[in-house]
Amino acid sequence: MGKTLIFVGGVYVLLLIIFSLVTREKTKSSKGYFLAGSNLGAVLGLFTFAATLFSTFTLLGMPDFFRVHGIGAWIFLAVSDAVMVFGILWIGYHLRKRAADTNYIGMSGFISHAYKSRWAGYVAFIGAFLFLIPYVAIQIRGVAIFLLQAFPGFVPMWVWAVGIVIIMLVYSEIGGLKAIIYNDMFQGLLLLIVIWIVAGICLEKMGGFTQMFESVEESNSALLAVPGPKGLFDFQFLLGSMVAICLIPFTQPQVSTRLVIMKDHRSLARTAVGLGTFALLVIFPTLLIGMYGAIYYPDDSTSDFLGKALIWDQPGPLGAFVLIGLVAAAISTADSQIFALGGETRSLMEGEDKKMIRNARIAIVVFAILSLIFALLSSDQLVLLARSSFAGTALLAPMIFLAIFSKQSHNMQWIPSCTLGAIGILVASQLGVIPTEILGIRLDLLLLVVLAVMAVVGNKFK
Amino acid sequence: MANPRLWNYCKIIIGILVVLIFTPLVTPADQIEPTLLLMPYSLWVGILVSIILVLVTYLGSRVHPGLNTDQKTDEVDG
Repeated sequence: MGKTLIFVGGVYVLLLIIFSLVTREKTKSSKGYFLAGSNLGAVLGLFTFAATLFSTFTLLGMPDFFRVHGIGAWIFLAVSDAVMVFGILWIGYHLRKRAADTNYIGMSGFISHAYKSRWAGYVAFIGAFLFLIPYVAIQIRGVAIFLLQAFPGFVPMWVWAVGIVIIMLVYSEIGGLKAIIYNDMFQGLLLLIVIWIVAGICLEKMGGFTQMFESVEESNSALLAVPGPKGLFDFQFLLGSMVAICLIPFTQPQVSTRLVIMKDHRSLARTAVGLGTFALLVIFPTLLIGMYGAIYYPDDSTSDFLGKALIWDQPGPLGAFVLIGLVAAAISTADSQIFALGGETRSLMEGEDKKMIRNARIAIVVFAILSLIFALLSSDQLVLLARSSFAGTALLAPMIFLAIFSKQSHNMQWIPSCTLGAIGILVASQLGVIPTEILGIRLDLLLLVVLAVMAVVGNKFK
Repeated sequence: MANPRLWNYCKIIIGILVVLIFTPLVTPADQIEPTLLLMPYSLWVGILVSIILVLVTYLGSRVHPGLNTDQKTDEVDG
């Protein structure tokens, strides 16, 4: 596998650099560098959305989620994603209309403009920063752990993590968002091909589709129903997850930027349909890999299971493609997130464009270093950490939706402050300072409902 | 072809499906039967619901009232 890995890895890095250099010249203004010229067609749109959304958490987290918690994981992610794409079509139209009225560079600047308050923009930035850094970190950590598993004793985990961050920084700093988008297309395809090949081989080893379910029923029948053997997929978890996932396109800047930069609404509509199809195609094979794990490695640790199922049980050369596919999945999401934080920083700054771009590029490096530090310190619960990130950024939704749908949002300056308060409460609960449930209701869900009610009532009686 | 009425129907269908997802019709507790190709109940119904959701999104993408409101001439890809 070693020689294949070096060859495939070399081709992969070379392609990333070529895409970055080809797109470099055209990205000198903020609009060019951070928004890729705001002229994205449906095909590129589909792949950049897909590569940004489906990450390490999908490729590594979901098989493990299916293995441990069972088929309810389909409802958790695939059904939620299918609802989300309709939201992209529906709410995306309104966001684009409002963004067209402003000089949109990032969501923080947009919020600042809508509320006529820099403070509101800072709150949007703080929310994105607090919850995206851990999300980026789990991408880096997920792959670094996996590489450690694949090459035990070769180099320590932190070396893998630093390597991933350097690759990501080099090509996104060189080429800007356009480079990231072209690389996303390449990486999205790679992710889809790799995961289907792995799933196909796992399915063959299990003796086919129906035999797979027979074997799972024999080993642990609770995996074949909700809420699953550990009771995770209860009503509140599924509802909270769906709400948080459906809000991602509007609350996570790496996705909302892509909504805004589509060429026109028709292209966005096509992208939404393609993304829904892509979601089902990329999540289904993770079900097969997860069931494979439930049959053959039910009691293994996450990293042991993933190492065996994705690498050691695969024919030699394929293991190399899997590794590169994983690195691609992690990088294509993490770079977009880090870059989006740079865009958010730029959208809050005023001054000469070139100088502001330079400052934002420095900020991108700082965010990458912070993510790296967090990656080395965080836990291995990839999916649950990702879900915390979705739930955290979801708290920005009422504030953002007010900015999109109400022309009087500037009369409700208290909404950003309440949002910041809710973010503080959620962070306190995640740190274990306060409970994660109140009267049996999940705190993230409760906070979101309270903020939404405040926004609706406030808008009505302003 | 923009069609506000059909677009409203799409929104209603999505709303109904979302509600159904959280009822025993889609996610009954601890129920495996009836199976389809040995797929447990919540899985095959979940897959069916996902496909319907994407199909409704496709229909929505054809009839959304804002389809022709912001077209530009130059583009990055088709």
